Amino acid sequence: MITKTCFIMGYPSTGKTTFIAALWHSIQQKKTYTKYKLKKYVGNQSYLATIEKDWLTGKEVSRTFLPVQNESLLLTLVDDLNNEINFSFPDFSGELFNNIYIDREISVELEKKICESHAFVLFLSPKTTYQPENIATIPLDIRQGNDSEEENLNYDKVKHDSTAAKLIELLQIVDYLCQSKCIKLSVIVSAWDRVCMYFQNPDEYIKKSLSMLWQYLKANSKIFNVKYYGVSAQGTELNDLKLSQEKNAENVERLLEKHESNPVERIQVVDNQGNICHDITLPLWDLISGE
Amino acid sequence: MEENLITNENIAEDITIDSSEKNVYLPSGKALSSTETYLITSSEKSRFVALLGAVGSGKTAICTSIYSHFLDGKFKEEYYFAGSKTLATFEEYAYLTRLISGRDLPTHERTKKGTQSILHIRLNDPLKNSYVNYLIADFSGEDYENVICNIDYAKDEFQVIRSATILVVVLDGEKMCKASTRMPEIQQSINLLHTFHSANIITNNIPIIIVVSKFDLVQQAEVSNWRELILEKFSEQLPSQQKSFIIKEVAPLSKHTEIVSVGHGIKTFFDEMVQMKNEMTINIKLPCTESQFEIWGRRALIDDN
Repeated sequence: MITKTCFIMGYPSTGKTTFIAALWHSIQQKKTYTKYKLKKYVGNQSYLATIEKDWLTGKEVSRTFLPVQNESLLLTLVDDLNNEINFSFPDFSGELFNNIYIDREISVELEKKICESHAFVLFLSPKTTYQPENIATIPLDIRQGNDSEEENLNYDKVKHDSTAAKLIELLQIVDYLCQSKCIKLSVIVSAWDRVCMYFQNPDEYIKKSLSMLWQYLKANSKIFNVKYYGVSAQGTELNDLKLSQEKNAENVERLLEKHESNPVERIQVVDNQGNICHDITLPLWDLISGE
Repeated sequence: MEENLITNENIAEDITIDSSEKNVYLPSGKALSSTETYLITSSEKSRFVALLGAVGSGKTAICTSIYSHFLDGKFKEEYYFAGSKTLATFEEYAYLTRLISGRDLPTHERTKKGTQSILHIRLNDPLKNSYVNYLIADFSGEDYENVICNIDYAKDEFQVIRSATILVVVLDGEKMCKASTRMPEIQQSINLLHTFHSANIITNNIPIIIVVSKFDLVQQAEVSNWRELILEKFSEQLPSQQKSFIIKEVAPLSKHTEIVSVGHGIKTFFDEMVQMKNEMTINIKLPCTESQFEIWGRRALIDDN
C-alpha cells in the first residue's frame, strides 16, 4: 500500500472544510462514480462524520478553528484498479495561514509536513477574493472624505492586502521550504456556482480575476505543476445576501429534496477543459495519478 | 551591476531555524537591503534600477504603480510576473492608494532618510522562457538633497549606485508647472548626475531615464515646452551622456483623470526599462590571445572610469 500526503492550504472561508465534508460522503456512497472510494475507516473519524452531517443538512459546514483543528486526517482509499492509497491531509484552519502570512514563521512540525507532502491543494473563493481599487479611479464627489493624518494605523495586512499577493506569498513560502522540488498543485476555485455563468473554466476565472497569481503560476511552471478546478461542494449559495432568510432556506430545501437519493449530485466539479462532473475526488486523483 | 547570467546552480537560501523555540523563520517579504540582494543577483540575471528624486517627487508612487499594473494584469502577456521577495512592502505602499484605506486622496509615506529600500520584481519572458530580476532602489528624497554637489557624501552613502544598471531621475511634475520652480528642479537633477560622475559612481554609458511625475498637473498647467527644456539643459551640461537620455512622463496618482488617467505612462516607462538591455551593451573586442590578467585589468579600468 502506498501512502500519499496532500497538504491542503487556503485562507479562511475558502471552502477547505466543506470540500472535505463532501469528499467524505462521496467516497462512501456507491451510486455516483468516483475515482477514489473508501476502503475502510481508520482510527477516530468522528470529526468527518460531524462535518458530513452539516453538509448533508445543507448547512454551512462548521469552520475549523485553531484550537480544535485536526492534525492529520487519514483516509484509506482504493482506486479502480484496486490499488490502496493512504491519503493523509491535515485540515488546518485558515487562521493558521493568516498567522503565517503576518508572522512569517511556522513550527518545525508544520515545516516538516510541508516538505514531506507529495502534493498541494490551494483553495480560493470568489466570495472572499479581494481585488483592490485605487482611490484615484473613484470620482472626487463620491469619495469618503477622510482627511485623517494617521496614515497606516488602520492597516491590517490580513484584511487589506490583495488576495493575489497573499496567495502568491503562500506559494512562495512553499517553494522556499521545498527548495527546488517540483511541486504538484491543484488550485481549487470553490463556490464555483457563483461564477460559472461568467467563466468557461477555472483557469479563465483566475486569469481574469487574479491575474498576478495566474502569471506567477505560468511563469513558474517548472516549479509548480498546476491543475485548476472549479468546485461547488454545496451546489448552491446557502446564504445569498440578496435574498431573505426564508427564501434561502426554501432554495436549500428544494436542492436537498432534488438530490435526496443521491446527495453527491449536488456537487459540481469543473476541470480546465470545462468538463463537468460530480466526482469531488477528481482533483486528488489527478494529483496522484500524474506520477 | 553587470547582468549576472543565469548559472546552472540555484543558490539555496538557508532556512533559519530557532531550535529553542522550535520555529522556522520565513522571508519577511519586506524591502531588501543591498546585502540581501546578493542571493538574487548571484543566482539569476538581475538589473538594478536606482530611483532618484527630491522629497515628494513621486518615486514611491512610481514603484507602487508598477506593482499595481501587475496586480491588475495591465502588462498583458509581454512578460509575466514571476514573483517578488518584497510583496509585503509593495502591499503596504499600495494600501494608502486604495479605497479600502478610507482615504480621500491616495498618498504614500515618505521614505525615511538613510533608508536603502530595494524592491524586487522577478519577470519571465514567456517567448524566450528567460527570467530577469528587477531590483528597484527607492532612495529617500532627503538623502538625495544632501548629496548634491557633495562628492564625499556621495562616495560614503551612494556607492550602491555603482551597481545601477539604469538610473531613473524623477522630476516633480508639480515643480515643472511654473517657471520659478522648473529650472531649479531640472538643475538640481543635473547637479546630482554631475556629483555622481565626479565621484566616479556613474559612467558615461549608464542609461538614464528622466521621468516627469505628476504629469496630470503638467497637462493641466498647459506647459508646452517642458520636454525640450529638459533635453536642452541636460544635453548642454552633460554632453558626454547625451545619448543615454530618455524622457518619459507618468501620473501614478493622477488627480485630474479627465485629462490624464491614473497610472498614465507607467507601462511605457516600464517597457522602456525592460527593453533597455540592448542599449546597454558595452562593445569590447577581446582578442582570444589576451591573457586573463589583461582582461581583468581592462575591466578594472572601465570600472574606475
